[in-house]
Amino acid sequence: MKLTLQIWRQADKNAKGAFETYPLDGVSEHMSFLEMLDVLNEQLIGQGKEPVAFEHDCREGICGCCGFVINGSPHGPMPKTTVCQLHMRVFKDGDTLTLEPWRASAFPVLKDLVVDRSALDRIIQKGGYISVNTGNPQDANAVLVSKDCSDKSMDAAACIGCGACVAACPNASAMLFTSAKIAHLGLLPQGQPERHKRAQDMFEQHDAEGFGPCSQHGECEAACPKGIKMTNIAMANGDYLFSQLIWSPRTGPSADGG
Amino acid sequence: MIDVGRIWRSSAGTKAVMAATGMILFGFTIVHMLGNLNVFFGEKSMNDYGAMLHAVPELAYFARVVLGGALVLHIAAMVKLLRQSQAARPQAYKVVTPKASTIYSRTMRFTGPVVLVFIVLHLLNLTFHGVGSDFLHPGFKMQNEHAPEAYHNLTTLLQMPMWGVFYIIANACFGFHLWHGAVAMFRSLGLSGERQLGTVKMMASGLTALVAGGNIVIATSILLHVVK
Ligand code: FES
Repeated sequence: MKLTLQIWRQADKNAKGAFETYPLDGVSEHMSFLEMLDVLNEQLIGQGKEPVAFEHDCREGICGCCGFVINGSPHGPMPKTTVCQLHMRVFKDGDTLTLEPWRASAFPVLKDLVVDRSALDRIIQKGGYISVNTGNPQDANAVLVSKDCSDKSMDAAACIGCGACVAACPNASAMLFTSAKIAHLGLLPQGQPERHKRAQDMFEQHDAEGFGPCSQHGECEAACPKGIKMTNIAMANGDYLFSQLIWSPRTGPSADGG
Repeated sequence: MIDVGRIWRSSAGTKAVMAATGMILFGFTIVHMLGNLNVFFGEKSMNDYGAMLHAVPELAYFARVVLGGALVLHIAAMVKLLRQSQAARPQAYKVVTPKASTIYSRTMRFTGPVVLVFIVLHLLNLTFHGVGSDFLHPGFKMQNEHAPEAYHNLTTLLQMPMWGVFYIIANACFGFHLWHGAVAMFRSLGLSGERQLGTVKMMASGLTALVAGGNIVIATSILLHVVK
């Protein structure tokens, strides 16, 4: 099949980017989207041009590295599919595809379609953990977890941190990501000791990174390649408000060192 | 201690303020619409209802302070969140393909201001008449010092085509605003998990249809002289 690709090209973080148009012939419908870009890059290199930079690692839909916006849809038009798992058969011969990087002030473009998502890592550092004693591992079934909680927690834990929710959100909010992490740990007994402090600290880091507020549009849920639900946002909001209105978790080490 | 400043500075806290004030205002409009149905039961019924609302002036002023405060906070939250949203995406996409957001959710920032203009004019029209609405339309009556002649004033106003049509359009915008807002406010307050979501959606849509629809039916009936 024959395609016209309009791709955002930007030399580095500080350069001013622009769209470039590339015609591409001989695309097999069995190729994945990234393989199609590999073919384009081979051609560009052959012509002595700079290949298109895009992030990728596993190409199995599990690492969360890949991702850009195809014709206004993060990860392309297939629901619950990362762009590395997207196949060219979903497009038609003669299609024009516009490829843009995730657009958010918290995700600066590093090059072409690659953005810096370390803001998400800093949110995780604020509370995406549980504290346990070191030493011998506990007996596997010592702490009981209800089936319901474990299911919901596992669903939230499916988040691969690709950033598609931010890309899709009209406000560039990372609330789906942040809430998935809060719910994933907050639903389990092991996550209880830090539950409300976690919501408070991760929410505050979310804002400090420059992500937008959640307007409950639902675009994040529709774009998420892992099917993370917005009900996580409601739960995280509840945890956050609880932390501010009722529980008041400690923010730093206490004065007496305890 | 509850750190109000800290809550307000966080976007989730601001959203909670927006949701809680939205809830107060929505609750008021439900009662307001139901009360106004009195117009279908004749002049006496409507005027008695109006007089009842003014029976205890302190209560009326208390309600005004609560509602006015809620409205101011609701708008302040909107201004703050809108700024934050714009700062979060300085560069727009070339192509946008909405999938889940609705016309209701995407027009919140426009229907809100329309409703605000409506509220201001509506108060000038029917609450503070005599104070500043003579230039808008003549012929309003007061039953006594506190109670306006609700029936006369309402019908006189809405029989003027310009006002009647404006009230209908404004209430349609209000319905749009609520269609998204009434569900979103539960989610912002953390009150709708998987289990409650269906119920919340049903309740919110039903009440929205009731309030906006009821108001539009009232305005249309008066405009078309079904109620004289
Ligand atoms: S490359 Fe790992 S998820 Fe796509």
